Amino acid sequence: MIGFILRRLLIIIPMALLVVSLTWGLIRLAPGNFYSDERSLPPAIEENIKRKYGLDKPVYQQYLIMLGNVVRGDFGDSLKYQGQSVNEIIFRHLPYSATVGVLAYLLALFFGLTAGIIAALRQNSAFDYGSMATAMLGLSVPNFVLGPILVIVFSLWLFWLPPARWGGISNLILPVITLSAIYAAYIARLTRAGMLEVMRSDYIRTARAKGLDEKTVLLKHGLRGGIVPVVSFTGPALANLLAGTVVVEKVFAIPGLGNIFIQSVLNRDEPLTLGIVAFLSILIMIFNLVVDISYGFLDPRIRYE
Amino acid sequence: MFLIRSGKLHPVYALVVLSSLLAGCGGVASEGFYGKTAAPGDNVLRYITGSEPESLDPAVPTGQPEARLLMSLYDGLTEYDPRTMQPIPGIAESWEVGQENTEYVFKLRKNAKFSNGDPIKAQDFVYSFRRALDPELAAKNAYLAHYIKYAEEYNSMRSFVRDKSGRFLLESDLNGEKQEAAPGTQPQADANLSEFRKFIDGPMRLTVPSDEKSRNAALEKNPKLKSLVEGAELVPVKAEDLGVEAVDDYTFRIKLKQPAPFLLGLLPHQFFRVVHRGTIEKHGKDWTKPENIVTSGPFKLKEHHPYDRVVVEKDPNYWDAEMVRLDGIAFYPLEEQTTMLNLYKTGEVDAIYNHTVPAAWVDSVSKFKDEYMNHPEVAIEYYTVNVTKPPMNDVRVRKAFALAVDRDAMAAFRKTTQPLIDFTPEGLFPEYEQIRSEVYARELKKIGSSLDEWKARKFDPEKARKLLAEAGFPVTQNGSGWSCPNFPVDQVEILYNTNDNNKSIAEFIQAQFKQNLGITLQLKNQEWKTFLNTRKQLEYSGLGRAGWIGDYMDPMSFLKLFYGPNNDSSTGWTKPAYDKLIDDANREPDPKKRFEKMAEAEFMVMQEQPVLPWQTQKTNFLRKPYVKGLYPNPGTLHAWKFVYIEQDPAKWDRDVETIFNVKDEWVTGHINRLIATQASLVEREEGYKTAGKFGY
Amino acid sequence: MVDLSGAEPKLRLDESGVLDRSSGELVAGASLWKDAWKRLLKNKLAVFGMIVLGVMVVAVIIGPPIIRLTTGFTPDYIPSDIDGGARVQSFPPSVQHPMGTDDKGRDLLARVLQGGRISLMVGIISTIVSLLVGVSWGAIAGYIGGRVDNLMMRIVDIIYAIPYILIVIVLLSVFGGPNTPDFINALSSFFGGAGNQGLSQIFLLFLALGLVSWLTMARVVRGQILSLKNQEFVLAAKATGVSTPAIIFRHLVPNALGPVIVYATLTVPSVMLTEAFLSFLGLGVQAPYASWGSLAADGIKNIQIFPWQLIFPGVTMALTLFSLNFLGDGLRDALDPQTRKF
Repeated sequence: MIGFILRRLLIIIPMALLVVSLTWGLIRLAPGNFYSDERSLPPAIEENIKRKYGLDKPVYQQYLIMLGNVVRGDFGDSLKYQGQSVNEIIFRHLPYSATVGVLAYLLALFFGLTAGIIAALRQNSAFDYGSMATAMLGLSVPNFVLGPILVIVFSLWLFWLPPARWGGISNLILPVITLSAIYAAYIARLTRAGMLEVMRSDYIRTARAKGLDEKTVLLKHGLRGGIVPVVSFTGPALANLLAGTVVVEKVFAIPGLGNIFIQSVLNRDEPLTLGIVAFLSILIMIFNLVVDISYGFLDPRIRYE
Repeated sequence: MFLIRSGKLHPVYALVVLSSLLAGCGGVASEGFYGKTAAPGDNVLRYITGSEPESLDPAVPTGQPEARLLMSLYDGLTEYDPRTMQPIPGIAESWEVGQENTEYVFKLRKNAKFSNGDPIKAQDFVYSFRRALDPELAAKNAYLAHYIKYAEEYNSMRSFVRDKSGRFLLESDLNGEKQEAAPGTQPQADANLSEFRKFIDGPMRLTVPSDEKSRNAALEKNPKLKSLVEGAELVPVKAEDLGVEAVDDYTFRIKLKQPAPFLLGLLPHQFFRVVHRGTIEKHGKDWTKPENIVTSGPFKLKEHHPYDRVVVEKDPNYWDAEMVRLDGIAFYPLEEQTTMLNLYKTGEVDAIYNHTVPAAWVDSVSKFKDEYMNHPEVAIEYYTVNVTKPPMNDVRVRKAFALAVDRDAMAAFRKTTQPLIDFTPEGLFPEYEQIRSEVYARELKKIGSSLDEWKARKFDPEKARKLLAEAGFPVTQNGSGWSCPNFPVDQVEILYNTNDNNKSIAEFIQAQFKQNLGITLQLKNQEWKTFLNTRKQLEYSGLGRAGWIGDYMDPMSFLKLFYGPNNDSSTGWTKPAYDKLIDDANREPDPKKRFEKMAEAEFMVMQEQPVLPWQTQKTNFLRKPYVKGLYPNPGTLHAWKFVYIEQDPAKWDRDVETIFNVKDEWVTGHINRLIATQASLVEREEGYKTAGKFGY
Repeated sequence: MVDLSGAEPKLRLDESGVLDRSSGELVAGASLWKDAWKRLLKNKLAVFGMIVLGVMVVAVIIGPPIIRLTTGFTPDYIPSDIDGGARVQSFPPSVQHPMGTDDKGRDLLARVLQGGRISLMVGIISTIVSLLVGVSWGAIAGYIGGRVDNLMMRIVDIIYAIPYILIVIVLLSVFGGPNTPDFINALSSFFGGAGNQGLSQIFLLFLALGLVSWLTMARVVRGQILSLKNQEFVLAAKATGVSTPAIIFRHLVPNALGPVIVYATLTVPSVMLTEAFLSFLGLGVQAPYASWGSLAADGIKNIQIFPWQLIFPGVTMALTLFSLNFLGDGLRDALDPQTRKF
């Protein structure tokens, strides 16, 4: 077990370097520069900029310098936002995305698990069909549609909630609901399927045969096995939450990392893009590891090589 | 109902704090206004300015969003008139222009202070200018200052050349002929002149690139230069060689290398605003951090939360603090149009920057006459004509095409533009237009035409068909329409860069040519960079889409496009006589005569029609009626000290279509106070009075 | 939204269903497919999904030409040549324009149908890319086993751990719009004429989205192959000297098709949603082309003024995604005999 964790932790470093190199290559292949504009610059000024940012050096040198920075965990300064270091930007904006993302995922877990368990226990009931149809709807409506519709109803018609921007709790309500919808729908479906499968498995049958009361069977044994798919979903979900927050950040003008990432790519702000990519890759690899470890506790049948 | 406006929450606390739910109360949309309309009680303007500022260092960013923000934080020698964007005094109280528009001497105010209380002196401007042009800073905007003597040379790292005798080589040594009285270079007789003054007012020195590789390349190309430079000593152009000088603590002098009468209009640009030397030298690149920054404008930085808000507050140290009425401004960096309109509608923001109402919304939003600002901008749209290829090398054909489009219909269809028949945008340079009418009338009389006839060029299909026939392409009636069988449609196309809007405009124009001339041109689209190249290299046949935004409030910003044999007009059109008129205009100290020269130049271009002007852009933004002093000026750059929030609904702005004809006593009063020290500006304001502008 | 399908509960194929067969030929499994088909037909939602999809496919194929012939509208026709451009605005639904028009006065019905072509094509082609790559990868890894398997699956694990959407965003914004690489432009010139920027972007989307979704497919297929490769029919084929590629692609893969089909059906809607997400970011399909995602993204901006701009493409897209998901669920139930038990 410890060997497994160590091996997985060790591989994170070369993988992060790989991801960063890949991204760097993509950015370098692209035409255009962080300083290119609609109005073309006089050549002399372009030279000044190149000199300032070391773009006049040979490409392999630039790559090595970049790699050296990454290994030291220092991505340098943003090219677009002068005087701000990449690390500073990441740690300043991560909390915004994380707040929205974590709250949304918690909300999704709450609704998804509840709906999924009840639907599984009352299979083929009206609740089952109703909640699964709702879940299907949640999976079929993009959140860039859901968000603005919520804004129109709650902000522009009812004047109850602010339509955008960071601020108080009331500013968080709409973005969190918007972001959680698709995850709640997915978790509900996964939970239902997982529960149905577990409830007919041998060990549940054994538990029942032992004479345990239904509640214990369900919560102690059924749920533990039944939510394995939800747990394994959480790894990729966290990766995708980032993409999800991009939309929510745009619609609700939240100063989160997702939107900054997109902007950095469009601006060709190389250090910032690389920094965010490296940071999030490592974060997500660690999450995946935690998820894998937690399988062992949830389902005794899973063993690590 | 819970609507929280104040009480910003740190993201970490947001997870914890659950109690602050009830605060304030959501209001209901007020009658006649767009959404919730109530003047904020805290006297802080909430303004959406576009994207997140690249930097709070005025020398660095190039975008409009930053320009607006930095105008609140820094002051310059001159400031934009909030109504017209013409220069009015800033830290410079008055100025004198000499040596054929190459010398500007500014008298500075003695009470100007930085936000930390330090006085602002001429030396600070010298430092600010030198720093902004430092090649190490690599400012993109540096080209704006290249009119200053040796600025381009310093900024692009060039070196003077000193021969063995210790004499610096001059440009005239290279050009052969002895420099004949170039502007402002007559030897000064005054023996008391400082060494620097002798040097800077002396003839232009020769420079070569300091970098060996580019120098060798330059020398290879020019054998004469090579022979001159060989064996000579190279002396790099230093910051101290720039044409800026602190004559005394409160006198600042700028020496230009070429006449630029529009310099005063260029100086309010953020690039030229004054920064605090001590702070920059102490903190290096961190100097713009909220804890370090020292500013010079009417407001100082209070907080900066990137991607969320920049909040500035009134600076009591500001020299004109008495007039500043806002306690602060919250700038929101936001680009999603729908989101910003939602914020506006719910009353969370008071004003938005330009071009923000999506075309589809204009009809429903423009009903809010007290709030919707749609006024002409210093930006035009036109088609270039490749005059090097037939049949477009015939001026009659070009004129026919220019006449064949109904510009009023086009404006109705575009919604946020107005018709344009000349090359400088309509309605922005009233003094120039006045003089231009006279010049045009005179010139037209010479060729047997009249001003009325000229103005009818907005749309004249009759004349267009006649011109085509004269050019050998007769247009004949064909049922209800027209046909022009001789016209070589395969040699003329409309080229535009791929974009939905450009496409619908091109289709509109295509339809007009078909309806009025019986000519159906092919449309061709290219992606942006290919398009730019095709147009610049004149590889297109016929017409190409184009737009131009003025750098400063002067028609020259447009007319310079046709200046020189390798000009930026992308038409292939060039004319020495035109270049001479522009040169003369630039050297002309009298503004009236200068405009006359420019009008003659513009007339010359329009006679030859290398471009087909279509439309002047309009501002297209929303602003709550209680925000006053925020005019839809030609660049949407607001001098914030003129902006205030009016609590009394009776005094709110009504019907902003006419905003430039309504007098705001407070704003006009302060403008008149500020310009009183500079006679030329008083004269300009008198002109507005006689013209009955601004509610006079 | 994004590719969530990676987390679908592991698909199981009843081993007995495979064991029945002694030969790897598809034909031999006919009874299994027949059974599954019957079960599928009993599932009302899945049948509904199939009908909707059928109608949708037919509509997007024959719709645009019919509209062009009857009313003269094409998806990219901007009527600026009529009434001095007065028609260039959004009109509500009418007899002439059953779904109204968009901002530029283009017929929305024609656009929704053309957008459907692109959305479905993005979904299907990206899924095919993921099938080609994923199935080959998984099958080769599973069959050869040993070190090769280990290496190949570690590669999958590694890529799996990368937040792939980041790479897609980088890829699309870097190469999208004006910066498309030459080979993609060559491809689009071949299909749609030279300089066809919009089409290039679509090809790029196919590629990018296909690259995102093959990983899970590879895992699913490998699992299947592992359980199949020691079956008698494989050993028999080996004994008779059939080459390795032939064993993999002619004998093993056809027998693993069940879960592959199910998984593919569920990949299509998730890819379509991802495309919509990218369109919202401005990285998806570019004008003059449209997809349901880009139409919905445009429509949502104007919903307060021109609700029809969102409602029609939005409902069409949701209905299609609904149907695909129903069909996917139905196929899973039908192909996974275990589910019959409850």
